Amino acid sequence: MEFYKLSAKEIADGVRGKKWTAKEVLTSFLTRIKTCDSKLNAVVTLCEKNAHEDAKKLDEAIARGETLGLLAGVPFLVKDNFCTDGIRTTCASKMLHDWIPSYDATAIKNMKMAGAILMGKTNMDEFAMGNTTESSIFGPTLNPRDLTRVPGGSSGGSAAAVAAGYCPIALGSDTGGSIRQPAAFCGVQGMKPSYGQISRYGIVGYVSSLDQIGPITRNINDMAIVMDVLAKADENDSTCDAYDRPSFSAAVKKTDLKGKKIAVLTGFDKECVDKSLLDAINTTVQFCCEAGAEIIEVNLPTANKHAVACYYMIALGDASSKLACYDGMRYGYHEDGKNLFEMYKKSRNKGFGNEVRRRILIGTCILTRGYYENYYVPAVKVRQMIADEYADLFKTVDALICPISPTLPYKKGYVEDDSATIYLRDVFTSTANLAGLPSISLNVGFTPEGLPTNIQLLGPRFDDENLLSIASVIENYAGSPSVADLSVEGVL
Amino acid sequence: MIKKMIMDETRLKEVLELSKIGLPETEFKEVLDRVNGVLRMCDEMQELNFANTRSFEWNIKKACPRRVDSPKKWDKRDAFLNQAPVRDGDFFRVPRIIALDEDNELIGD
Repeated sequence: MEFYKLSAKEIADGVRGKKWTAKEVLTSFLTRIKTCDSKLNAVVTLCEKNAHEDAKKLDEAIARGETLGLLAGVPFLVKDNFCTDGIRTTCASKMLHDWIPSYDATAIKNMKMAGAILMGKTNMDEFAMGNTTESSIFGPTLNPRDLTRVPGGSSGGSAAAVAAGYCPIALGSDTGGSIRQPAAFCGVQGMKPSYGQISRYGIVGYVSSLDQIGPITRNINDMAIVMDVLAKADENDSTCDAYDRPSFSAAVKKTDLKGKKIAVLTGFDKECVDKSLLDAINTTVQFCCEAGAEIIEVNLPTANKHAVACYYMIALGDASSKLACYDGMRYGYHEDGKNLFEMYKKSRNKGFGNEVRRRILIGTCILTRGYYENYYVPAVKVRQMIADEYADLFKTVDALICPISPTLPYKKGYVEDDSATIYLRDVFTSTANLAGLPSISLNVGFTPEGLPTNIQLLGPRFDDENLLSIASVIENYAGSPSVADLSVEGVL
Repeated sequence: MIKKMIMDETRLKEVLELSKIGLPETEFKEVLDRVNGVLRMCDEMQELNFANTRSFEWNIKKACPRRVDSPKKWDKRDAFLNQAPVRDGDFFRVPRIIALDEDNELIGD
């Protein structure tokens, strides 16, 4: 049985219906990972023993006739910045290379309670700072759709794993596009839910006011099921809202967009966006029209022009503060020094990689006197202006369509001349984090060369179900992506 | 109104001390170029008038209930202590925060 081609729902239905056992499913996925991952490098830690124990317990529960959760027997992987009880959590950094948490993140607990089986942890950019998954201490992950290209980042391991058929579901975190951009690069579906929708307890954060976690899947129906499992209040995370969530799965049953008004973003420099990605937007607009939606064009001048600068001021400032705890004493890699300050410096120098140290430096600079008043404080106000711009837009439209990334997946090792140019890659994704909006990266096809094309959908905050519904209708037209053909790439 | 600023070598040295990060002088130019590139990108925010804009804050629909603040039994104390960068029995081992150097001067003052 080729389990790797099945959706999470098909696997769970089969386990519940006793067509196959959780153990059979798990063994099949673990074999695929072990066969393929020496080349892809998407998985950094496998927890086979725990996974087999969980599968055995699940099969015993089925034999006893117990009611099982929505994800019964579905194997999944998580980015290596989710705390996992008894399993190392490294953030792909030497700083945490041997850190073993003593508790599970709430998201992991909820997945396990729904019957999902944790197989391991996925590769990422160090401390989630990057968009290529090349800055990991475990080495770079390759894109399963084209091994000469990066999978995106920072959740590149999770996206590559789903595209490669290692699992039907992986979880990632998204501070400025880190779920959506790798999902786009690897040709799968990724969602950053609204800020406050899912508990982040147990996530090694990067920027508390921007971070959100979410699912990466190969179809929107699976994504909605994961949202049903993860989106709930949590007494351990005061930023997680306690409102009564609707059923996300029920929202993806619609087949048309009648009565929906969808905006298409304009006002950005189209010369800077790859033509195939602009074509993907035009094709999606046609789908939406055919499905009965009204389409309008909108310009969001503040977001278009200032989002990246605003995002980096806030992200880097907060990151320098957040990562101060990794000093070789309270947390992290330790080097001896002749006094406290030398010990701090030695530990942080050797524990952090180049990009992390660079971001801490810029962030510290932004928070010092003069720079704080001139850059950080205005950025917090510009953030409100961007949030207001979106709030005004969503008074009259249901969703916004725009690109995810200006480019198709980059070639491995490609380096821009300066940081500012690299950071501009986040121009379309960072606004959803600044304004706390739900956003979906939706694969809508492939170029003749086999590279994925995609669009981004954004909606009003806490209207995640409506966004999933629209994404589901578009997916019905475009088709959901299949597993990457690893034999073509010489991986199998 | 944002006042345009750049980072120079003196400021970089101060920031390196504050962030507890060391950097060889040979890398100063590269890092300064990168930092100033980001600051220049942010200078464009000058054109916005945000004098009457409030600072950003999150709206919530329904506040999350707080957990009861009471002690709970926990059987992972040892596993937790094992994660200390330097463990000394039941404690995290830390260096002196205030110490004297060879010339009897306070370190870290």
